[in-house]
Amino acid sequence: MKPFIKFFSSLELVIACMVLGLVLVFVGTIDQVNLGIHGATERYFYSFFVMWKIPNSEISIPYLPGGYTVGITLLVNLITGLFVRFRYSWKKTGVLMIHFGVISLLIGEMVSSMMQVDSNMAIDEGATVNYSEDRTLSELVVIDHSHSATTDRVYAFPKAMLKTNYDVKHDDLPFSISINQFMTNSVIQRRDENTPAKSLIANKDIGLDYYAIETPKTGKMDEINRNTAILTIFDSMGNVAGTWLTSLAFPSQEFSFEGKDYSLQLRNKRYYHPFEIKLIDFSFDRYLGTNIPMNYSSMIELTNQERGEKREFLIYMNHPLRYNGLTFFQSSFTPDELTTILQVVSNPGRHFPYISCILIFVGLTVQFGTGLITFIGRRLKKS
Amino acid sequence: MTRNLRLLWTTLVVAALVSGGCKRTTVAVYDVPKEAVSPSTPTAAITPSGQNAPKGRIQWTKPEAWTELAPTAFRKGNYIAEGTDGKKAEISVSSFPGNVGGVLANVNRWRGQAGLSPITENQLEQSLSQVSVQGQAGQLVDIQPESSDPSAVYIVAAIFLYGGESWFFKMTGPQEIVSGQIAAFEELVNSLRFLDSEPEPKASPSKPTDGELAFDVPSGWTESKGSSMRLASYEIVKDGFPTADFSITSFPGEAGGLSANVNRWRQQVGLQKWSDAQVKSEQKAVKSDSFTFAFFDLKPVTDAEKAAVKERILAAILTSDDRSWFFKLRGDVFLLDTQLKKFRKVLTTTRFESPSENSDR
Repeated sequence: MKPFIKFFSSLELVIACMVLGLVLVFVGTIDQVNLGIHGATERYFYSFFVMWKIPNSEISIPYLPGGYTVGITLLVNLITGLFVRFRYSWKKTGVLMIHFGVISLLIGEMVSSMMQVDSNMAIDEGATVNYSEDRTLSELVVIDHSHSATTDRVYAFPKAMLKTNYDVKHDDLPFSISINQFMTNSVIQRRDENTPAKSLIANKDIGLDYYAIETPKTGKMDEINRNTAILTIFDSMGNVAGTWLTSLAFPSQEFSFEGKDYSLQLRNKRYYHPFEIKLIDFSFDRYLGTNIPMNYSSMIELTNQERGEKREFLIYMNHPLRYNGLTFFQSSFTPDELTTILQVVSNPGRHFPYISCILIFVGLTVQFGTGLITFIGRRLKKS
Repeated sequence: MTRNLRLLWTTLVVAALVSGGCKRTTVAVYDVPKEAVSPSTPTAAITPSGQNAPKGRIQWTKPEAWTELAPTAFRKGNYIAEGTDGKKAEISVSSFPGNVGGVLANVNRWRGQAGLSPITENQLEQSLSQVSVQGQAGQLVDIQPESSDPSAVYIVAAIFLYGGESWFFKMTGPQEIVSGQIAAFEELVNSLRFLDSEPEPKASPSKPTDGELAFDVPSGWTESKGSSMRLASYEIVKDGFPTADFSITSFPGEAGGLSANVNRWRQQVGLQKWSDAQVKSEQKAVKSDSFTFAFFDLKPVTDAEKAAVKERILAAILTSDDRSWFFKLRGDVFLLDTQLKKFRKVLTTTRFESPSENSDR
């Protein structure tokens, strides 16, 4: 056990982690050109190992430790170092605080990377919305419109369940859904003489007029992965009810099954909130006589009926709204400037960077202050 | 040391597995108020020319010169008009609840997009002209650039306050392109159809194709959901055969012409294209009391075709002065043998009824 602890608390390991961290940042930054910010972050930093796919095979092998591995190793090193290497004394208070600051920074980043949820809330001027949509995750929803007079029941199948040649079902639904093909990214085309034969399988609603072509996945900030699925609905006896083409671009498609009305839609994963937001006005201000942006802002009205709250807020650049553990940033808008897009961030680790910065700042001040006082004391003694 | 390294990697792998295992994939089930599930993504390019769109909407027909783009999250219509040197004008259709701040606010928003300073209420009249389509009043907005630079932004728009919503039809682009597309833009505006608009004064149809299309539905045909592009959609389900699909669609003008449509259908079932002369020679006339249809039976004929092609299309085209109707039955070669008479019966019973006749039925 002793060599094990010695290894984890060694200064050599710190150096190794830092070098690996530098390599990861360098390689990840360069690869951003190909993968985009999200793609590079997922591959190099939010992973245990950076994998290399052997060409012409489905086998991937690790060739670099990922950000999680380096971060966890560094964290373990800092913690074990406190017990093994560190010699406690009043003079070392500053160093101890810096240690805790870095530990807090690492824990905070790990919590954020694993638990942070980013979503977008698009609101038209005059409209009210009580949900935000995940930019990267999708879900297949089957909505039972016959559930009650006032509500519809939504069955949301997460993207992770939507795999080519897999079936999805729920006990309360009288049918099962077979995913004929799931495309992570695609372009939608109108059916014409070039429509591939395999796309003609869709025989319901929008699929009769459109088809999808699979395209490579993108991780770029300004591009989206247009998930598309071709799916067939089977009754309990295995009879085909029809085959639909669904895509993130499409509206819901309605159908009847055994006398009940349903609709089907592949959409961005939704997070419903216990409050609603109405967009009163979106404003894109430019410097007069030019098209140079000066400011973007959204005047919103937030209503939380449970708490009996109704308030107006102005959200603009660098002035987000923080409410109910969520932060609403002014993120984007549509070209007609009538729809605002707010980025909604839920990040349980959002306080860690502040704590870290305070600890490191105070630690450095104490450490250098102590040194300075000792130095001045010695000079005074000598003189 | 080796043992310790092994222990280290084991720990990391376990950590990886645990973190991966935390992401559970289960079906989420929840209830939402009925109005909250209306499509948030646009019906966009799917419905503009459709006839079955829900009420409270405006429909329109795309001018031929424009290219339709894939739907976007916020546009009900999304087109581009291209110039000769790759420059483009963008045409969008969008709707928003309420009056979105009023005409002046919208005009000033667009002026800002064109790099122009805002105007006052008194100056607004210079940019506006009134328009009426199907009895619905709207406003045409003309925001010309102050510079003569051909690439300066020129915006032309139409605003209709309809069904509690503001509908914006807007063309934006360099003035050298937009100037040449104003006629097409007016064509778009004149093609608007207001689904909730008051019934027009009942008058006897001026043309045989005025009114709503109707026909006698053959036995064994069941109505199918179809798509918003279809005027009618039926399916024929027979044991041992794939479901056959019948549709009626309608488009302005000749919709590409006879040969282009026939050859598109031939390719859909895997048949070789016909020359224009072949199309003419294979065309049969099917007559009803009021109309003459151009009828085609697109099926495999040669042995090679029979070996490769298992589908067949029965198609008929009805053309009037300004519109074409396409009747199309697609299905298994042998199944359609049994449906040929029924298809012809659909054609011979096709008629256009006024709304009052429909409501009587």
